[in-house]
Amino acid sequence: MQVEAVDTAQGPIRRWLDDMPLGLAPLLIAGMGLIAGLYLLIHPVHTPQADLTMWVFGPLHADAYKKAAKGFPTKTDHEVDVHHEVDIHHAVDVHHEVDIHHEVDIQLINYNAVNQKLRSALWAAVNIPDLVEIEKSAAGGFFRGPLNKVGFLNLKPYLERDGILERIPANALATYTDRGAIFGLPHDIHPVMLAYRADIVDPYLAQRGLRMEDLATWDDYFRELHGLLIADERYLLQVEHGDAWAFQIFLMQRGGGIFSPHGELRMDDEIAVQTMAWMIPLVAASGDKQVAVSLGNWDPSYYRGLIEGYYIAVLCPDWRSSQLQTFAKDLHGKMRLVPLPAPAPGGLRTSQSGGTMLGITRSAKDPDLAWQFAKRIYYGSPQQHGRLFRITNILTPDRQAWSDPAYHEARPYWSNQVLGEQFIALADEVPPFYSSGFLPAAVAKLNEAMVSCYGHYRSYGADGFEAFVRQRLKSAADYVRGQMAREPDWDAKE
Amino acid sequence: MQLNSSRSAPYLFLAPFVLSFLIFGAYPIIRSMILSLYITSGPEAQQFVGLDNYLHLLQDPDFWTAFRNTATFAIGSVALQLPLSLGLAILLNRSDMRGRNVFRFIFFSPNLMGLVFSALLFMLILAPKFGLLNASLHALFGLPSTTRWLSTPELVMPALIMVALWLYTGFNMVYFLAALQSVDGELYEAATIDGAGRWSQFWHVTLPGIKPVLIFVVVLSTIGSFQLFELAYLLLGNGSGPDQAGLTIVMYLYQNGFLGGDLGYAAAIGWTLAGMVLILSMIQLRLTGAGKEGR
Repeated sequence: MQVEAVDTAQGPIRRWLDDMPLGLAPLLIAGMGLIAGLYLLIHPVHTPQADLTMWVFGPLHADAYKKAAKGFPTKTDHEVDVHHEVDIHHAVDVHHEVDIHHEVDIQLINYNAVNQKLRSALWAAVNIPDLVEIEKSAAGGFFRGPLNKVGFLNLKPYLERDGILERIPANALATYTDRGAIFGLPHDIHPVMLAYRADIVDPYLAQRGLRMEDLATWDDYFRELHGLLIADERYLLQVEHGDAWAFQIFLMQRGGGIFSPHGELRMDDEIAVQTMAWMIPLVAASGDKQVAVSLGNWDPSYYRGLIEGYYIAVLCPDWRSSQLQTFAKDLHGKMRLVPLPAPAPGGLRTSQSGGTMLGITRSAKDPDLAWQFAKRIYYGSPQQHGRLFRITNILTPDRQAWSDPAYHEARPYWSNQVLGEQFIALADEVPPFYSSGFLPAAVAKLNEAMVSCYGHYRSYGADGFEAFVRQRLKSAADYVRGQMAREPDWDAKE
Repeated sequence: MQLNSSRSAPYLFLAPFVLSFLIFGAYPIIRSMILSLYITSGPEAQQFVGLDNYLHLLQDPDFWTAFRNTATFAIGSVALQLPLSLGLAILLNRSDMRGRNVFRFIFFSPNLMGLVFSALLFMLILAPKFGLLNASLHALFGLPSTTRWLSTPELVMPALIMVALWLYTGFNMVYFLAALQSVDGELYEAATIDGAGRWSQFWHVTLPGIKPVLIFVVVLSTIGSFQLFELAYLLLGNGSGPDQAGLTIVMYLYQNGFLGGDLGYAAAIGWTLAGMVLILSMIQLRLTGAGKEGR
């Protein structure tokens, strides 16, 4: 009797809740879901509705492109003028089109993440950017598979149509060319020079009536500067034997490469053998025959070694020159750049290292618009390139931009040398670099071979060294060829 | 009606998890298993090769290099880490130890820093010529200051084990501390009355008392060691080190899948690793008799 009275006092809501078939808990969960759903309905997640989306891994690039994206029109002023002369009514239409602002969403993504993110996006066909910048060493991996199904558009027709091919040194395009298609626009050229401690080297050479510019070959370099060598205290060059970075520079300087223009592996050809047989003794010889030293290419020690005078010169692509300015500030006014000494008289005085490409993805919403923007940021105003050059020291491949004053300014860090002119003078000589999807595997095997060769030379010296190098490079290359042989002939399958 | 609803209630409660597991757990697992039977070059270029990826893997010297490196790391780090962690835990479990909370915090603190920070720190410490370790060894013992810890093939794995030791010893120490505190103190009193010495107490009281935790830590550390990637990747400058001395199985998977673009082969590496870890864990559980106690 008493219980019934309490029930009545609970009221209809409580009774309704008690009658719920699954109890109160599911009702609460459902209620929370409903509230969350309604909240999202009222406050939808903002998805950028930009006309173009671009992924960039360099913060400086991102800043520059954001500036360039402001006021990005569909038509160039030149086209407007032409139409204006022909048909005033048409010109009004075109002018109207110019006023349309196209929003470009520039997204800065970590260097290592951008490749994975792009690969995932292409696999899932979700959130693929219209444009993307990727680094040279990763580019080849994206060019694998049937030609018509590569994730990037072939830009050759655009480059030809707009007359841009002639503005770019031909070798700069080689890296991003695959089976005749050009999948990427080169952002840079990256000539390699020799950066050296002018405060140590120049007075020494002056005493001998020489200048650094007189040392035309590597033999000249090591012979004339040998007096500066102090075992365990000072070496003439930094050459890392634990990774293939320096080796690739020397290899391309001699006309070699890891892959041929047709994608064949050539890391064990005679040029590679001779390059390795020449390079390893520089760091592996004993006593005063060891003229170079390894201290890592990417460690903090690399800069410290130069500052402390542990070595007096380093291989220096354009991008590395700005890193030296940043991480070896103590050397302000003490450094100079000269063309690389050649392997032999009359040989190449530069090489190539690094690079970034801009690709337009096959799923770009509006490829023509993407091309217009790509052109604007890569082959746009010389002032824009000049601004970037002052910060990064990276040389654009667009010859028209080289007229900007930034490329003709003296740089106090580099003993008032005109850096831009130095790089420009070498631009057309920069050797081609051919990419491949198997580049990471090939480079890993080269690293292995180099370490083996180093160990062999340390143990046995010059006796039978060249034969060992030949055999070691061949076994490394055979491994990569084995991997390549597994690759189906995708184009034939198509 | 009420009865039916009650019966369906557990299923409805489980439904959100089951659904999300099927979509985000089971589907990717099955998909990756299928993927491992293909050679791939991007999403639209796939060729069915059956078990060829697995057969190729078994003949791939790089895979065996990666396996050897990973096993060396696993054995080296587990064999050094666990005794050290246990020793520290026993030391810091003593009630008469002054400032033990401070020491507990100090030994655990590397875990608070994160892997990336630790890797950067050790890149500086291990740097040749100008690094702290080389400078100290040179000053104290006259050893050469140019030792290239991360660039000499023979030294890469010891360096990685050393960093892992610094990172995880304190972490495992916490597990052991918790286990030691759960051992009944009366057992030690009884053992002391029976004339058992410290060593005897350790073998016959402490170790059996913490055995479940010990097995847990051994299995977890082994699995973690076999999944080594980030530490080596960061310390060796995004590569596998000189002469592939730092190439681990997961790094090899990453190189094939995300640098080379063959996700099929990468999936086969992943499944092989999963199989290895499963077998290894079963062997460990069998050897330690962990499964029998629950029966």
